[in-house]
Amino acid sequence: MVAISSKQRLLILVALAVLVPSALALMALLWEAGQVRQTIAQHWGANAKAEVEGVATGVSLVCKSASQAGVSRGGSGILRTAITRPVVGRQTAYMIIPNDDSKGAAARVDPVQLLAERGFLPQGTKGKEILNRLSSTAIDARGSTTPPISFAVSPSDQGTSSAMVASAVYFAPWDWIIVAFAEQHEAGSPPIAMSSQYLIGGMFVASFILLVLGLVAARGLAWSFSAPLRQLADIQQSVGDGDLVAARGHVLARRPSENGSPADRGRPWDHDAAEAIRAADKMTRAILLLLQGLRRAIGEMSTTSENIVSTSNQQERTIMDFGASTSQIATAVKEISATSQELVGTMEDVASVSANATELAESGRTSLEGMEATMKQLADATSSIRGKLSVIREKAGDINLVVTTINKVADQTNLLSVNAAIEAEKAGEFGTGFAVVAQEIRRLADQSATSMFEIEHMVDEMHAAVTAGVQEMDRFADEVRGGVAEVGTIGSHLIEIIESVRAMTPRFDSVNEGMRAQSLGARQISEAMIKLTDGARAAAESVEHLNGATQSLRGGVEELRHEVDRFRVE
Amino acid sequence: MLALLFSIGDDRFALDTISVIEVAPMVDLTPIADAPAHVIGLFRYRERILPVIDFGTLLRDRPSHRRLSTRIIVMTTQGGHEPTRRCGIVAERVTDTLHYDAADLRDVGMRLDNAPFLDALLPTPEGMIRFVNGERLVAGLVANELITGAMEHEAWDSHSSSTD
Repeated sequence: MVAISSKQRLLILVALAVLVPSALALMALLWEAGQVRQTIAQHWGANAKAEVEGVATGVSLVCKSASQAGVSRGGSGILRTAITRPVVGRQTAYMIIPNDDSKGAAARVDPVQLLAERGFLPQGTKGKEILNRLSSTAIDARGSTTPPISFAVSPSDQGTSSAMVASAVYFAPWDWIIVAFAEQHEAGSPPIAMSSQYLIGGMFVASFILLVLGLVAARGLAWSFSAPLRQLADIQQSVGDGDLVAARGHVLARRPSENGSPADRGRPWDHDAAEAIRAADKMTRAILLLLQGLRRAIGEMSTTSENIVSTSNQQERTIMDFGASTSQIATAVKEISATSQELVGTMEDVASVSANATELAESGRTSLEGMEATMKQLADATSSIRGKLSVIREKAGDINLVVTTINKVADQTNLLSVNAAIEAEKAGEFGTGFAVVAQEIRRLADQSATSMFEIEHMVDEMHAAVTAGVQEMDRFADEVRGGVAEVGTIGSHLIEIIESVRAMTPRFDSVNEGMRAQSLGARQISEAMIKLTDGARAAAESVEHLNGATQSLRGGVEELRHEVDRFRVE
Repeated sequence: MLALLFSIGDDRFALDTISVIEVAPMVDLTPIADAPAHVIGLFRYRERILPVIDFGTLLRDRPSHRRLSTRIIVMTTQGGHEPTRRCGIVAERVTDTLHYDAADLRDVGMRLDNAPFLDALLPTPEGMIRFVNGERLVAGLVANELITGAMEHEAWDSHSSSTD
């Protein structure tokens, strides 16, 4: 239900007052133009002798029918004012040529021939060539006047040739080319200047202004009718663009206040518009809330997916580290296994060496026992030697006694011989024989004394030697006794060593057992670590898959966010 | 002529056997108190008591070494003097005698106050040795009143009475 305001009514009246006469004038103009077109067509089609003078410009065509003028050379009339303001020349001709040859058809007169008969173009191909050139340059110039072309014409009926110039303009709406020809009578001056200025009649101008006014009025009327609709359209547009803030702005601007003017309330269409705007308000508010919720949810989702990505990255790193650690552990365990195997070999060697040591120590103990016995025998022998040496010493003492006795005897004998010699001397001649005996006795006594002295000396030496020997033997006996004791100590030590080494052998065995068990355990650990490494690799792969999935999830969230971000809510 | 050879240390001496009664082995002597150092004791010889003089102490102020060859030479004075004097001389290496000619004796050409009995040298195969004049030795001892006939007798008497 539509009501019209007083302002709108006035506008309608003004529009009608202006539009009707102007429309009538325009129709008249258009009719005339149509007549011109028809006439020209008829001329071109039916009358070969018709000569056309005219021009057409723009939407509004101002022309005079050529039929009124007939064939006129240099003719003027309304057309001349329209086209040829500074046209200088003795003879001037205008030719309108359709660009499309098919329009003219076969019946039409050849324009070249026509112009040549009038003395504006050379005969034959030369004239046709000039015309073609003008046409093509005019089309290229796109509505501007082409530069003039000079050429010579020698008409058949006249003996003298004349210099001519020609220019052309393309008239796009009808697809015509208008060509102007003129005689060149002054060298250097432009022979033709075609103007695009048009003469618009007073009638036409008035009708046009009225038409414009009418259109403005109609526009204002339409505006006042369509304002609420446009308002709604703006809201919808804003919603469509996603600018909900702008949409809300539109709604708030247009929402009728609660205590609006009675005139506003009295208008039913305003009421309808208010209803529509209220509905739009509700709608935009709902969309706004929905979008805010959606944005929050997207934010949370984004955060969650970021967390998942970082967590899975961390997990991946951890699994990588774990894999590396398990590899290292596996290597270390392998080394341990190899080392313990080597240790097993070493322990076996040690066991065999200790067995050898036991045998050697036992043989050494046997030798020591033999040596001890020998030493004891030596000690006994030393004792007996010492006893014998003592006996020798005693005997030497006895000899000394004997020697002393013999010495005394020799001394007495000497004394006796000395006294005998003295007595014999006193006896004189009677004692001579006796003196000889005394001399002899003394000699014997001296010899025995000398021998005794030597014997005594030898016995002394022997005695000293024997004493020294006894002392030596005593010392040697002490040493032998010490050696015997030493050998006994060494023997007991050897026995202890043997016992220790024997006690060690079972320990070696148990150590060997332990080492074997350790080697086996290390191998089992190594296998377990290899399995664990495989597991870690598999876990890393699955984490990579999880990463990929999380990436795509994040991409989805980003896309969603982008979509939601198209709505401006703040 | 027969000479008895003896030594004091390394010096060799000779003594004519005219003055010698006997060579006796060294025995323990009875010491005489307050006597000169060279009178070393009393010696009982064939029922007599003789004073014994150490030749080493007399000539060299050194007692003779006590060895088996260290003996007591029993000496006596010959003629002129009445009564006869006897004494014992201790010397070393009294083990040999030597026959000599009195013409071989050489006078040393000087008289020693402390040893007037050493007035000649006797050439021997071992070299020149001092020749002891036994007469003068005993006379010198008597002149010093060491040896007297009375003393000899008294000593003898006292000895014989004390020994029994």
